[in-house]
Amino acid sequence: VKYAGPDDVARRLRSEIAGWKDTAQAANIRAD
Amino acid sequence: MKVLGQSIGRRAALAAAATAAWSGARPALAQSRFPSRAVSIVVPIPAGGGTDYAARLISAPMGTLLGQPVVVENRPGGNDVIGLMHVARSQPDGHTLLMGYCGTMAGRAAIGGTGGVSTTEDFVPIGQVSDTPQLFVVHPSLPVNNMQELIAYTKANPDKVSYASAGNGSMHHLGTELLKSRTGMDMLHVPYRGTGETIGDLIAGRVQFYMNSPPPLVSLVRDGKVRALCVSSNERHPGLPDVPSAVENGLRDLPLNVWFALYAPKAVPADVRRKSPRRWSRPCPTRASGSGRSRPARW
Repeated sequence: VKYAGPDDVARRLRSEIAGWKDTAQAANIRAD
Repeated sequence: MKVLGQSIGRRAALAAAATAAWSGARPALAQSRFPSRAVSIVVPIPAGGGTDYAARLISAPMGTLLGQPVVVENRPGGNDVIGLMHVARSQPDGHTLLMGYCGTMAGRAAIGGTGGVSTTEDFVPIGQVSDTPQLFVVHPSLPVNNMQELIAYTKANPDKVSYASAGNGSMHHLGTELLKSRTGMDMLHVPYRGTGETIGDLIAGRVQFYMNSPPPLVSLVRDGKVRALCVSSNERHPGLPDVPSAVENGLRDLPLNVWFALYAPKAVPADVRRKSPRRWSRPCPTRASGSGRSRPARW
């Protein structure tokens, strides 16, 4: 079992927010 | 392998100093008392989904190691904002934690759907609990057995196939939209409040396609109530050896892994953050993929 620590989680979160922003803009998704 | 807790000693000391400087004497008080009572893991999503499962999976061993009960507290509503706000505004002493999943923390944030809460600024991560591919399933009435057949079917029957999600910004929503953009599939989005609510309509055939982490879906696949098409990863899932991979279905490098991580309010003392993962992470073998240390998603 291997773990992702706090720094890994924080880094991944920032990366994924940026990635999903692109997807959301392309699909015209907004908060409901 | 870098085990959580071993790498943060110096940073934790610096963070502790910074935290103390920022919030006065409160950290010292909290440090001496953690855990002095039951620890609550808030799940901002209704019971029955992957986030709820992740929280319940770790609650018992975490409680044993902390010497205090660890209770799972579902606080759904407002597309997860109710639970986020509850934890963000709670006393930052380590007794109120958040089980965050990528849909809440990243997906909702990406569309500006977290109300007045910032998932990057109002919380600090303690550690990742699970990182798993998603399972793609359809209702058995749909005449498809793999993703290529589903893609062809939705193109030939526009507006006839719908997919379920746990609301705008959830991983089911953004992930399926990403899948649609990559494949040209035509499916209608039907948002629900959570996986538990979704399952009923999925097995009744009122929605036809759904992606989620395996735990809520595995029993449905085994009972024939839904048909598994593939997992979202390039390789097969060790827990689902009979289910083909995305690559076997003509899809590669889908950034659709779902992760769950434990968070605390931002001002929680560093020693409490450090204490928690050291004491509960080791006996919680919750990583399903077995693929090693987490890496940033591939976009």
